[in-house]
Amino acid sequence: MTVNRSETGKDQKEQTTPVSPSGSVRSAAAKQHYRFGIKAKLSATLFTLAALTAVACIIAWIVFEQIEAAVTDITAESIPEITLALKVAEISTDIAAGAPSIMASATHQERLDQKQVLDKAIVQLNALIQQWQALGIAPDIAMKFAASSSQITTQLAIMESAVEKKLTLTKQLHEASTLLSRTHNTFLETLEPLVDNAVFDLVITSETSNSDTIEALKSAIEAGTSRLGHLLAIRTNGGLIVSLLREAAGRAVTRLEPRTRLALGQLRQRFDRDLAALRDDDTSDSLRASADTLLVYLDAISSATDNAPLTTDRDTRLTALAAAHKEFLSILTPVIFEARDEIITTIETIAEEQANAMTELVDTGSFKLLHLMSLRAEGNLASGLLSETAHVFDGQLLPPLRERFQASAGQMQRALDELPQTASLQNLRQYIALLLGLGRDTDNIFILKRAELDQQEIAHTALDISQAQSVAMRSAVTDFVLFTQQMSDATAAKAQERIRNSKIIMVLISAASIISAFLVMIVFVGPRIVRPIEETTLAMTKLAGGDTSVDIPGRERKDELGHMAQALGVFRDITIEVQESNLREIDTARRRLSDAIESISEAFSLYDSNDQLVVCNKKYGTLVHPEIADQIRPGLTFEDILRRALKADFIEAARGREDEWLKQRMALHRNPGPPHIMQRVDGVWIMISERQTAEGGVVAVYSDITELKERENELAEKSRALEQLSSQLSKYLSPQIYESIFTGEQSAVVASKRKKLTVFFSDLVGFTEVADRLESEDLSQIINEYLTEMSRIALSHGATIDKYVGDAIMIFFGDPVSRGVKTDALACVRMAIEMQKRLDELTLSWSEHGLVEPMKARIGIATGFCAVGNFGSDVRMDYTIIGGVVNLASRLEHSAVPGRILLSAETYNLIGEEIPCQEHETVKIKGFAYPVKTYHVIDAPLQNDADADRISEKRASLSVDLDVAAMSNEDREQATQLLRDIADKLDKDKD
Amino acid sequence: MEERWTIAQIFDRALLSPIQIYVGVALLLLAVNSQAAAQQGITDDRIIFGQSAAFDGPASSLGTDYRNGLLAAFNEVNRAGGIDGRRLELISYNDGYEPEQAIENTNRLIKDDQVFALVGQVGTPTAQSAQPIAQKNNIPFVGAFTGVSFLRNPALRNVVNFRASYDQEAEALIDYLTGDLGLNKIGVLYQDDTFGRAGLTGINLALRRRNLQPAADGTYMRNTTAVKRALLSIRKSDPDAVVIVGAYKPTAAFIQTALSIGVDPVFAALSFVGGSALAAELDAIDQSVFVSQVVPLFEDIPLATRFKTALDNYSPDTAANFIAFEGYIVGRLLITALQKIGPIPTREKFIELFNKDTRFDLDGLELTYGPDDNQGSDEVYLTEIGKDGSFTAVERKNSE
Repeated sequence: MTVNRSETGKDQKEQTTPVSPSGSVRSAAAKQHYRFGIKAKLSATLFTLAALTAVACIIAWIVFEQIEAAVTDITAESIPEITLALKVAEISTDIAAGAPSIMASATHQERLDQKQVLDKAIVQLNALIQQWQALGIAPDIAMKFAASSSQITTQLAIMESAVEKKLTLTKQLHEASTLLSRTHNTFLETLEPLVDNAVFDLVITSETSNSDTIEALKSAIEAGTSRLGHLLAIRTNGGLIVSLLREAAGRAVTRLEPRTRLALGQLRQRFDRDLAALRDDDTSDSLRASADTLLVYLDAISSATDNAPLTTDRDTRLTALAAAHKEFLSILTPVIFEARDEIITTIETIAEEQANAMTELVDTGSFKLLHLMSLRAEGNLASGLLSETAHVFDGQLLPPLRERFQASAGQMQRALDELPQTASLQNLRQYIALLLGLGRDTDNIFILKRAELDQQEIAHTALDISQAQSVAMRSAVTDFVLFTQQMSDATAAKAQERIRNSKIIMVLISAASIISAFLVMIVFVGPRIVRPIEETTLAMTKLAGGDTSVDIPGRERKDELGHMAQALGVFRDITIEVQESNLREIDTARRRLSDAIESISEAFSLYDSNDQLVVCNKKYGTLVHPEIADQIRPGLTFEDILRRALKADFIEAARGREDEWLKQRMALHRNPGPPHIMQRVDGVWIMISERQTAEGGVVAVYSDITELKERENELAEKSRALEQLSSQLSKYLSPQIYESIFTGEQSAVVASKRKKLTVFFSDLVGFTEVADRLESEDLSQIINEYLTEMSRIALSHGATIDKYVGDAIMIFFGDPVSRGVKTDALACVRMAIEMQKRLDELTLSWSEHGLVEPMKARIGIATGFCAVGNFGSDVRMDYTIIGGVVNLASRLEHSAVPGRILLSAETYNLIGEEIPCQEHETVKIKGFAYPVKTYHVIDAPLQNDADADRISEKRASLSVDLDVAAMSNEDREQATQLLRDIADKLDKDKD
Repeated sequence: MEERWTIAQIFDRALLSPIQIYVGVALLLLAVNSQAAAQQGITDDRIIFGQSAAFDGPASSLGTDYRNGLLAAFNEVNRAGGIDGRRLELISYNDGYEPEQAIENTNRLIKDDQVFALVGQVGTPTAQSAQPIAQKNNIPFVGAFTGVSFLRNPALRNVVNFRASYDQEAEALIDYLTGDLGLNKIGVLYQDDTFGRAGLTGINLALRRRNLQPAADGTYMRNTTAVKRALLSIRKSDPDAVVIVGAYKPTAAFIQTALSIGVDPVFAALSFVGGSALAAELDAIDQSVFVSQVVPLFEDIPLATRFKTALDNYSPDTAANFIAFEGYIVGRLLITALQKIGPIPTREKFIELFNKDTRFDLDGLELTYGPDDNQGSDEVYLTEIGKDGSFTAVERKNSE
């Protein structure tokens, strides 16, 4: 709103401001102060946009704040709540998991440890619940928690105390079990010897009793039968005795026969013995008394001897004997029956006694054993039942177990009562009492077990309740977490909504911002700033392009643009002024230049860098391209003009090869060099001088040189004739002389000078004779070949050939060119050596021409001063040398051995160091006052060979002295390189 | 829990200072060491051994005599300054020859008394119960007074036996009875438990080698003298000889009862019977009783002389007998082994010593042990109880 107001205000002020005249624009510009200029308007616009952006930012800020608040809601409130709830769940799980371990603990210590852990957990749980309540979250759940927690605490306390009791009971039970086990063991160990003894006693007693009975029977039967036997023997023997006596009496002898007497004696002895064997009792005594009576008669009868014959009262006595015997028998017979009865009675008695003893044994021993065995069985059963009871888990099993135990205990009691009250059983009774006491006394195993199971049941119930509470707590926690999640979901949704709303607002603000920007663009920036600037720019561009007629828009504006337009208007006026003045000046300069160009005699043309004709004078047309003079005008390219000229076919050189020529001409034109000449068809020669200008164009001056060219051609013809002449001449002259003369170094005038020269003479020995024999053609061929070869060798060594006289040759070194006296001398001697060598080769080829004998040359060389120059008349001159040395050389030649080279002493002095020589005879020479010392080159061919390694050359522009043999490898390489460079350079120059 | 925390803290601190590392580690080692030493039944001045044996009941003289022999040996070395300055001590508990009690005693000796080794367990069933506990705790189980073969299993690393096995004793007795005396009807009386059955197995094996089998057998309940039923059943087959595998009291009762009912075969008993106690119980009878022994007659060998001196020094009133002699030999074996181990004995070193090839020379009595042999002696000596209760060595007709 503020922005709008300020804008309105500005507009109003703009309207009220009077339009400034152009004059005042400058002062305003100098002040740089526009109250409502573009700066203010742009600032206002940008400020508006910035304000919109700021509003958007503020809204975004608020939205972020709200999101943060929402997130904080979730994180700072929900998460701790959930964490707390989960902790509660965790601890309740811990408690639920830990509680059974109390149940499972085997000792009080374990139980206490577990209890401590659980107590800690419960304390934690309570603390958490308090924290929960303090936070005031979900009070209904907190209530539930508190209730559950107190329930758990109570139930755990119940369980704990039950477990404590149970453990105590378990311990007691365990002790009772141990005692039971020990007692049972002792009971068995005590019982075992008793059983053992009972069995043994039973067996041994029965054995003893049986053997006693048998013994008794045996003795009873023995006694009875023996008495009976004796009695029967007595009866028999008595009868026998009586019958013996009767028999004796019957035969009526007075005395008994000895045989009868002996038999009677024996019978009497047996009778007596049997009687004696009878036991002493009443019956036996009466029997003995009766027997005595019998024996009295017996004795009476049997004692009848010879002395006292049995005659008188034999019959009486026999009667008496019979009576006594009868009486004896009457006594004996009952005794025998009695004895028989007695046997039966005794056996019966013994049998009865044995039967009684057996009954007794069964009554006492067997029943005792039975009771002991039943004690053992019932004892085992009872202790087994007790042991089972101690380890039973189901309380319902207790009553039947107890019933069976009591039955067993009753059986034991009964068995024990049946047993005698002996001391040996006292221990057993004691142990049995102990054993049974474990199942019958107060605090017996059954009671203990029952109590233990009860406590366990209590603990179980309590545990179940507490577990249920734990589960309830956990489910409450789950519910709560779910609820909290829903809460946070709601918060998140709320935040989402806020974000969405804010997004819409942001979009709206952004849209407003963009629209405002567009409006500002369309309403203000476009028409008020951009378009005027564009118009002004257009005007300026036109102005810059030289269009001074352009109209400057916006000069009526009162802002910066208006001022700029006014300034531009001023600038335009000035430009117009300057332009006009410049045009005037250019016109003047052009006219002057044109006059100048036209006034020169040569043709003139100027092509710019684009090869377009800029300016030319009339001469250019008339002289260079007269056929197309009327066509030539500025703007045509050079090539265009040339093509037109070619078309007109007036360039001599281009005839028949127009394209090639054009190409060459263009190349020349583009890279102007020295002036060149062009011939027109009509014979006019034109010299063209082209130069490149600084800006890349070409300026050319064309001169008519036809006259000059004609004169030149004339001269050339003359000179060609001269040249031909001199070439003919050259053959008769030494090349050096020829050169000297034709290069103008020496003129062909008669003149001489003194110079130190080395003079050479050679002559073929005996050639004159040979010449006579040969055909003239062969001769001329041989001599020409010889001389040509020799001359070639001489020239190659830089010699000046003076003259040939027949086969003789005169050569000198040191003029017209001297390489120094010593070098001249050396060259001369080397030349001579080579000539000798070459001659040897030539003589071989000459044999074909019929020259059979070998040709040998004599050579003489001398060094010294002599006059050199053209000698002769004005008509005929000879370039030669004159002096003593010439004569000396000639003389030496004559004195030389054919095939040898003879040197003068002076020459030797010059070359002796390098070419081995031998002193020769001194020669007396005409014209010389004293004999001359001579030397000849030794072993010339060898020397020559050795010298093959040496290259020595000296020319006007060349000097070579190469001793290959003396060179090291490195030197050779350097030399090779050098020579290669030289060769390259020479080749290049040749091209 | 607390210990773990302490260790953790030591290491936490160790991160801060190297000195504390050393201190911490040293303390830790010290703690571990002293704990280990205490656990090993060894302190700086004592080495404690434990014994569970019968000191009352029908086998009481076995435990008592064995203990006397052991203590005689301990007393001997203690008087000489101990082993590396440590006195040897023996804690003995009575198990009354009952396996249950033996288990309790063994647990107590290991857990409460923390003995270095268990020694001189008397009896087969008791040894059978106690040995697994010792094995589980890796505690040496030395010189059990039994020849049962399950203790001769070399896989039992912690078991060290001195005496010949029941099988070896049975073989010697049967060889003598059937060979020298030519008796082929052999009856067997054995205690109705693992000991008795071990003896019976040995006798059966020995008889089977001679293509014989027991003419009759009878059993009696451990810790009782209820042998009469057995006598009655053995009497039926009228054996030439009866081999008794039992303690001295039931054995004596058997012999006396047998003679009283006119059963008079040759009697023979395994060493476990306790020859001297048996002789004392028998009180001069007119019948041959042979007893196999696992120690030599202590008449004229240097070890016996030293034993008698030691026993006199320990307890002048105690008479020397075979069981005390065996106890003494086992004591000497312990002492020699500890001396071999060196100044820092551990149970593992002790066990290791007997599980490699080791030879002990006890004044001429040579005992050898190795990886496959945990029984020191294989010797069986046959003796006969004379009418006056004295022992004489049995002369063999053909010594093998």
